[in-house]
Amino acid sequence: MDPALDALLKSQPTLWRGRDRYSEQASVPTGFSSLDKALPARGWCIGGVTELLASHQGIGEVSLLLPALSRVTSEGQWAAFINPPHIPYAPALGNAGIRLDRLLIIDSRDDANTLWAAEQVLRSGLFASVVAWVARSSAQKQRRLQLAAETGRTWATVYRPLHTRKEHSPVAARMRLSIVNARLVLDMIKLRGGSLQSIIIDPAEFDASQGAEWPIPTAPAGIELSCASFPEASRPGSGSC
Amino acid sequence: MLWLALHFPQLPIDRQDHSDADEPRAVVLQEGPRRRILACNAVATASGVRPGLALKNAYAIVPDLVTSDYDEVQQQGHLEQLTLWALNYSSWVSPEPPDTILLEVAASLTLFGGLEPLLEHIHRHVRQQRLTLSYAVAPVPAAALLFARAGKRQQILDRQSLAAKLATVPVTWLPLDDFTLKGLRQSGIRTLAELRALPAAALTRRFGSACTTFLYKLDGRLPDPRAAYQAAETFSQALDLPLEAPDTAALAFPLNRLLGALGGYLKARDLGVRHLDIVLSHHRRPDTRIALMFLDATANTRHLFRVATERLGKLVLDAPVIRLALKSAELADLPRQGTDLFLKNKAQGSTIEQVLDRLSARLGRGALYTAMPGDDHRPEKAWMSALLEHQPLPGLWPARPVWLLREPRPLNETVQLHTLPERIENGWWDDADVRRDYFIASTRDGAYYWVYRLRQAPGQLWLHGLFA
Repeated sequence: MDPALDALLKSQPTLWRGRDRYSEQASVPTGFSSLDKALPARGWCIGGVTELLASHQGIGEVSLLLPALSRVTSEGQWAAFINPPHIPYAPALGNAGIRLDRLLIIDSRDDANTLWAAEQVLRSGLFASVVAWVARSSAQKQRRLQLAAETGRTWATVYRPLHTRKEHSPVAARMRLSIVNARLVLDMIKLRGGSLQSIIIDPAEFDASQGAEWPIPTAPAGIELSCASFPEASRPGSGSC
Repeated sequence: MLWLALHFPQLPIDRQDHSDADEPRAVVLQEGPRRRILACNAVATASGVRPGLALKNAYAIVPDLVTSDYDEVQQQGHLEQLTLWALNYSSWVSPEPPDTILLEVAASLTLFGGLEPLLEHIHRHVRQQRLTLSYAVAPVPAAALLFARAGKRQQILDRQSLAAKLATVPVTWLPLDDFTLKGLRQSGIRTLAELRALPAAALTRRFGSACTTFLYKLDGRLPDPRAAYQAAETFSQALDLPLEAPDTAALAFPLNRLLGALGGYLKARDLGVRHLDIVLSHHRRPDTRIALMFLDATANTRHLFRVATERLGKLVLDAPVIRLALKSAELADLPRQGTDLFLKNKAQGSTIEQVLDRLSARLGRGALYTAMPGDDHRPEKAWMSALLEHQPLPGLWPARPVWLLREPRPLNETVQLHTLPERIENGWWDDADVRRDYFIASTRDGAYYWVYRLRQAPGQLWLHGLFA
């Protein structure tokens, strides 16, 4: 940032800042301090769609939501998984503290039905969280989801394939998920009211979010193991579950 | 009570094609051996053609007059659509065939904020639909009809002024038969005041009771009940296009007309439409049917028009359209606006059951479930899809993947195994005999898998879950 601008902002605390508008927004704390800090609403945005684009399956892309889902469902509010790619495995979800009788799973099979079901559920305003897996969509369809999330004031998350990051998508936030140095990293592609940055999820927080003891020990700090070499010793436990 | 009579004198002409409005046109009515002009357009009127003129006289004035025959069935269709549209303004609408509609508007004045705003609403629609309108307001339906059909824009709000206005009305306006009118003329009676000065008994003896009854209804001395139009169970209206429409852009105007009727219908029924079919008919070809589905029932014709034109715009027609129809396939209660200030998003009316109903109606009953941990340690059995009312008993498990694959698949990637094997063997008592050693494994890309190998064939790793 420009130092002169910085000085001005510091000397004038009453100066209106663009992001103030968003910090008023309701949100669900993510359970990860680095992520909460980076998001303008200080958590997953309520009344908006967050798009998550994961480089691979199995890097912890769903676990990222578990602390917030656990918070929401244990308050007795409803959450929905629409068109999950595999069976949501009850023991893992239960470990993470999710009330399973508050998590509705909808097998909608194709994208058209998924988008339709997501819009229905979002607009109803009866669900605190809606998570959908969509392969093919369009800017117009994503916009409908965003409007539905605003109407129903729902925290909505949509998983899309990584190659869709070049497509325009009028949603509140888009993040790319990948593993760098055995840690889950979130690259903000788009963030309404926030700055684009990369966030590293703290491995300790991540493991704690799983509810069950992660059997792979975390490597001592300072030791960085190269991914390519594949050493015999176990890798630092991080972007795991 | 206050009655508004809407009279559409040019209805058969107005509903014709407007593209060549500069040629003189007339609609001709056959009355026994005589043919006379029923309605004519502005060009013909400018040349001196008048409704009621004999056809041969009209031809003498305008030799190139384009005439068409009056079609009573079509006229009834037009009037019914206008009646449905008029339901927008009053719940008590009574069609007066062939060309007039009576509305009881006393109850509508509060809603529209007075007579002038109400008439302004009506005028706007009538202008948009390019209709010719004459109207009159009177406390008695027969009087409103009389003035409207005579083409006099009268706004009579009370009985005193009605009596004064009626006094000057010429008797030729009265809907009496030719014999009676001739008798009145020969008696030297020209205005209604003169007619009403006669003793009722003498009048009945001379001209029959129909004349007396009409006079009494005209000033409200006799009750004049009018039946309110009852909207049908479903909406189904069609109209033949005056000209074949080669593309869907030409359908906007007739569509708007049908939607106007639909709007009145929905208002009268206090319903919204959730599924509406647009049917386009072609010559010797199967109909094109477009289904418009709405998330929430809607009665907003502007919204319906937007959605319909959007859908029609995408459509490529194989053949010109000759007929346009609207059919309501599913009507539903309108979502109500919550009046509670503090009931914000929950006020949208639907409950979780309604949402689940809607979802399972489209996706099938089996598509909705919750995951539930079973008490069996075999991974395949440790989740169950449960009905919503079941209360699962969560127990703590060792680290387990979020995703379980429906079918384990052989893993051909190089992976790094991290944990000691967790042996799961169980189920010799049923078909699914499981004897496996499970590991957590990671890939080059940093993904973590839940893999196993069979005790009897330890060479092959199987992928069973993803630590997503």
